[in-house]
Amino acid sequence: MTETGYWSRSTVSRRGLIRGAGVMGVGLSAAALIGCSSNSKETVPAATGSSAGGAVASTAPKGTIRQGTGKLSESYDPATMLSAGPTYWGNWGNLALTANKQNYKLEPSLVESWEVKSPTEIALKVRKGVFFHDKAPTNGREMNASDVAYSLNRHAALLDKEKVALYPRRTNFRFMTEAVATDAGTVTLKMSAPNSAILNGMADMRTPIMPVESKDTGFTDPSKVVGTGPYMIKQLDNAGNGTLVVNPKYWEKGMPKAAEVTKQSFDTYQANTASFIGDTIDYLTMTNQPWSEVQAVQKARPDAQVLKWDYGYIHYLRFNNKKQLFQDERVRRALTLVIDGKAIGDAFYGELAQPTGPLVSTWVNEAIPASEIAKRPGWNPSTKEADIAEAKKLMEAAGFKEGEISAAIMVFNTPVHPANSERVRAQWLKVWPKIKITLDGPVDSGPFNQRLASGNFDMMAYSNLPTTDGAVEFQNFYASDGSRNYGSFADPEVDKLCAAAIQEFDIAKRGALIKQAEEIVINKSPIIAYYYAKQVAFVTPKWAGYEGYPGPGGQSGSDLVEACKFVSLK
Amino acid sequence: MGRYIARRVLALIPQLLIILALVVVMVELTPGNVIDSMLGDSGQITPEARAKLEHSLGLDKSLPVRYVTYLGGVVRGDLGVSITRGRPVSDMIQERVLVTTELTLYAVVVSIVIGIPLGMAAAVARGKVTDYAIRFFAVLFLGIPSFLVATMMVLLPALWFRWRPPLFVPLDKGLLPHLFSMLLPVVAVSLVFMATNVRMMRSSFIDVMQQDYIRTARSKGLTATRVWFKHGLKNALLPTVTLIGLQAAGLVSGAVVVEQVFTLPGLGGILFDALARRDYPVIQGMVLLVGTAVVLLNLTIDVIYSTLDPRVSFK
Repeated sequence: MTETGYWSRSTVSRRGLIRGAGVMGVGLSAAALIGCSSNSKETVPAATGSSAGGAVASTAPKGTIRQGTGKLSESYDPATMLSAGPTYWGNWGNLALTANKQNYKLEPSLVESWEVKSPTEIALKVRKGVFFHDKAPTNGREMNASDVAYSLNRHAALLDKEKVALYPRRTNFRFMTEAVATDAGTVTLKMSAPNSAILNGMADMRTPIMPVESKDTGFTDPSKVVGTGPYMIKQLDNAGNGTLVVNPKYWEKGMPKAAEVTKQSFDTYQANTASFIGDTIDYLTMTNQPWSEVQAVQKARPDAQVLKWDYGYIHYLRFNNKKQLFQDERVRRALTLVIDGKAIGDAFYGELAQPTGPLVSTWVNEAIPASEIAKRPGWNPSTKEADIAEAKKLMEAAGFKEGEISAAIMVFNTPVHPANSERVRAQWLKVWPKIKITLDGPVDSGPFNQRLASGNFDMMAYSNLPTTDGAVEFQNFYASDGSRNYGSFADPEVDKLCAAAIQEFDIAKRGALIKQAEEIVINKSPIIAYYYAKQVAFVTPKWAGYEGYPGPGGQSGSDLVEACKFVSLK
Repeated sequence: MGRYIARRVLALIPQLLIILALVVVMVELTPGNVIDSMLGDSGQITPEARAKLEHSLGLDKSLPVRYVTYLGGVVRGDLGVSITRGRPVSDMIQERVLVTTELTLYAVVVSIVIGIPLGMAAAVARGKVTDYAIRFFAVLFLGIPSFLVATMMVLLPALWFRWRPPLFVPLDKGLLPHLFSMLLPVVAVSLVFMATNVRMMRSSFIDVMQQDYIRTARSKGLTATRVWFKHGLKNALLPTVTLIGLQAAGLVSGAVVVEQVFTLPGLGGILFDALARRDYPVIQGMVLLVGTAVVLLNLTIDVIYSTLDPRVSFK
């Protein structure tokens, strides 16, 4: 069996467009090939990177990009770290596959093509001419299938049975039993059941390819962290400060364009912001910061380039379905209908807040579009009066004529969640003055995670930066055994649809299954998704190219880090 | 004095054992644990997977067993390995301890060198404009916590002048740039302690200056300066020196917070992270270090005390 349309899309990607622009002077024919993938049912053609790079005139890299990073709190092991962190520091550089930054569709990277041999077996063709950094322990050797197999097995937690739970990306590789290097250039993925999301899982930016030598060198010594990326670590201390220089053997020709990247780790957001304003770093990402702070930075640095893009956190309140009160669908639905998500989002994030359903359609292709969600009851301001009337009826039918319920919202310890929760409470109080809602927290991450895992809460206010695979995302959040189904929502029909979507390789059928599940979730209301927040970043005026690179695939700052290879001095 | 010091150092051992035991119990009682932290918000794993993980990290052993095992390691000079980073705790501390020590010492020196003369000046000018001005600023600085002062020092110059304080420069890159990079953090840490010293010194100096022996000294015809410095200062210093010893723990905690704001590579970074992630070995190692430092600092203060006041005996 060869791959179906799900894996081979014909859209010209943004990355393709960027590269296309770069090669325009050389020849339109070359540009036409760039970023185009096959629409046939055959194996996807060779990656765009090398051919594009070959056409780009080779200009010597110049300039130093000064990056501010969050503090490093873990090791350098991309397979076990929770945060994106150093995964993106240019040195790891490449994934087996990559998600297009504009349309979330798969593109080749270190795997140049793939073939779905059967529903439970996928063959990956490993790219030739990719070299690890020329330093110990790899000493510039060529990457091969063993490295790819080793990396995928590690990410899938198949090499460390005792500590499986510590591999957060293992769910990307659901059902995978092993990745085997069948020859120097081919890796075969074997699965116990079909998983149509596994290729998207490989395009998660936190799953880079590591050399097999890291088995021995480990991941705690930054001087031994080696990848195939465009930059090599020249010096890096354990706090995360250091310098990366160009990898002269980088496989994408013409990249990177900046000669050096310096890292400055900041323990606090304030120090990071002050550094950008004070012009000691070149960009600042403002994740989960209020709109007023965004405006303050804009005012302080009017010369800075402002980037905004759709990939951001979804902010929500979740009911604990194990609690008797919230087992009643009418109560959940009534509380959901009353909420004005736009007002909540606008108050904190201003114009960055956007409507969303249970899945964010701007990054999950299969989701119900935000424009349609905005017309639905609960989201549509013009039907709010009718929604409230309906909510009152539902609450009365559930035995709470005046909404005299009592519950607590467990609030995660970042400024946005208490602010959101206060507004939720105020909106409920306006409709049901006798409702008793308390804010439990803010709770810091340790106890918060413990209480999530044990279900010790009534409602919880939180946000997540999800994956871009609709089936995986839906499975994680809404299937009864989902790893992020914090509220223990259980619906047999949703479970069935999630399982079917994950095993479905046809994109149209897959999308239909996910939409069907999403409709059920909207009606049963285990979650109130208030909004998602666009990400915003500022870049000093001297660099060009960042503006072409906003998009998903990881955290915003990380995207900008990866973008280092594209940007150049103006 | 030697025997006294030896006794005090020996007394350090049970003190540290008790402090460590308290810390271990408190960390254990705090909601959330290192496993929850390592698993993050996708921690919905099976009990079997959790048990395996606890076993592999040695967390399945009882609290007393872990405590005794840890103490055994400490005796051998092994502070254990960070659970979240996989690095020896002693290495992590060694990399960062100098910056915190330096910041704390500078802050102590600044708070003494500026605080004591200002306190004296306020006392001498009691009831005058100078006194009111010094007391006003002392109360002001007492009321503003060091982390807030530090945050304002970082943010306000950036917002007003597009300038941010220099980032940390290691000593091997030059003494002056290094000292310059430490300047504002030292000011932020020392302000509150300097203000305390000003107030203590002022009241103590006023009290001393009303004593009979000061009157006698004046009646002998000594100059005012000689009375202040020869007879007043030494006696007025006693309560202030005691206070500095009591401030030691506060100084260290102030320093680790301010380090965070100014991005100094001191102990603050790993301490806060370890606390948030319940990384027991790191927390215990830090407590051991800070506890020892505070006890030794107080011992030093006691020794200084004896030189200031001959009536103090070490028997």
